[in-house]
Amino acid sequence: MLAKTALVVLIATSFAANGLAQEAVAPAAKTEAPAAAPAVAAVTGQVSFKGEAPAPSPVDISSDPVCEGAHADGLARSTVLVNGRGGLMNVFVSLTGVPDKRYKAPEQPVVLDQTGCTYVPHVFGMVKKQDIEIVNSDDTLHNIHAMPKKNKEFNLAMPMKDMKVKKTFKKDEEAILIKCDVHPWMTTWCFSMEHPYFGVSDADGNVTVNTADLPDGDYGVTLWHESLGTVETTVTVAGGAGTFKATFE
Amino acid sequence: MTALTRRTATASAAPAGAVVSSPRRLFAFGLVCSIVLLIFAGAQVKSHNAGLAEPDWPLGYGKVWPSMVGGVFHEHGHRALASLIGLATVILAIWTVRTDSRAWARRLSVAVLGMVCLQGLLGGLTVWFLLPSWLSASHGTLAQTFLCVAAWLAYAFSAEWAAASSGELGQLEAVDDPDGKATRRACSAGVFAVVVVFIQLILGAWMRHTEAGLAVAFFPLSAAGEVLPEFIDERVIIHMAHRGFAFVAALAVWRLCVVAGSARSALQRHSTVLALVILVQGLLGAMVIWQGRSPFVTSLHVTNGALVLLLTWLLMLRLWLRTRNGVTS
Repeated sequence: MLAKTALVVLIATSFAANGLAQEAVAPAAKTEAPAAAPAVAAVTGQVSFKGEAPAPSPVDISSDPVCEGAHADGLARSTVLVNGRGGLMNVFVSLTGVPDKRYKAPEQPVVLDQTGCTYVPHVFGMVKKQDIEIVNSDDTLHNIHAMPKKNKEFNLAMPMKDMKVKKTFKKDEEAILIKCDVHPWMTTWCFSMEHPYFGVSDADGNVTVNTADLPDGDYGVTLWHESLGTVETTVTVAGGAGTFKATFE
Repeated sequence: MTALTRRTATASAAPAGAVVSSPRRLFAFGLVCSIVLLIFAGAQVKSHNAGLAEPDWPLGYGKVWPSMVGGVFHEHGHRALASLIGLATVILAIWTVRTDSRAWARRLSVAVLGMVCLQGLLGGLTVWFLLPSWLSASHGTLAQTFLCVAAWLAYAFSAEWAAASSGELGQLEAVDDPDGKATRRACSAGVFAVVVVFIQLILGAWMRHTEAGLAVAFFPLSAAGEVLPEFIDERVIIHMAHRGFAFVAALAVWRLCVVAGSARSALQRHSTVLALVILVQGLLGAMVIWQGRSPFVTSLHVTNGALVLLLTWLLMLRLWLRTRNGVTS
């Protein structure tokens, strides 16, 4: 009798243990893998340069000890920045033929930093009326002098480190030169756009254009480089995505 | 007869020359030299594109003396020198008004003061209005005018002026032109040369402030042997106007040098120096092109242009003085 009871208890215990084990496992089994993030609608592109890029030319930065200190090995400038695989940097890419409607400027400002006596980024885009937050990260004088043709020109003193100023361009305009008159090698280019479908190529020549809310279809792609000019191509957007390639010579 | 009574005795024949003290004479001379330096400093501002390196005026970055880095060195240096010259002009004007017996000289000193104040204001306006071309060119042109008028005042303090006014110059220098005809002809050539050189300076300022300095980037001919570039736009026209008119200015000045030196041997050294200075000016102009508008060479070209105007103007004044006071043997 006792043995039968022990056997029943043992079996019951086994089942219970198994159940517990399953329970221990079950939560894990029941835990689903995190849902995959919804895909960001984007057109991606590869911009390359064919030919021999001019060698960077040295810049005389001796007029400001802060700039000299930031570049112990000197500073050299080149407008044609190509990586080992021909990828071209600092190309402004924008889509054309997008729906003709009013696009609201993002709340988030574009940040333009004066750091190491250079502008970062060297080329950037904004939706018209979007704020540009201009920052002086250097412990020296800079002036921020924008020279648009359609928008209002401005020239502001930024004498202190960590000083911030907000400006905007109210009209759409391409290739607005912004420079520092204290440090003549400092230049940056701003594109004030009607729409948000633009991007700038990185050091590998890769560019991503966010196409959220952009209907599928065929669009033009305009690529601008400050010294190489403009190249045009096309891209087909399907399911919010598309790819293109372009080459400057 | 004392200097004062001699001056009074000759008043009816010619305007009485004032006996100007050496310190005032030297001060005025120093002022003129300083203005030439200031023109160079101002040219350096444009040559280094530093005109807006200080976004505010009259302070710089909110300070009387900001950190003199980069373009601020040129712009603020120019402003500081201009302020000193402004102060010196105030001193000279007060000094002249209080001590010079000639009403016209007193008025001239006040006019010089007015010009330097206007020039300072124009400089400030170029900063406030972000360098519109016409304003920048006016600022540059007025600088040259101010130089000439200040030089006139300094010359009015000179011993030569005093001697001419008192009729003594004919006793101090050889008179090669007894009837004064050649001197009057040379004086007319001087007026013409001054006008032509001034026009050339205006053309140069216009070219510079519309960024047309390298619109024609070769001199004298292109690689294909052409005088003009293939594509002609507004900037090329402005550039070629300055380049072409340079020949007119050179011819006018050389003609003046020849007739002035022939009419008055006492003016031969002045004429020779002027002839050389305008030759140097042509060479500097060519070097601006050959060196791709190197800032230093360009600033030298601007300053030497001011010297051409100054020497032409002074030569004309010296001839005029001799015709006006009828300096004869």
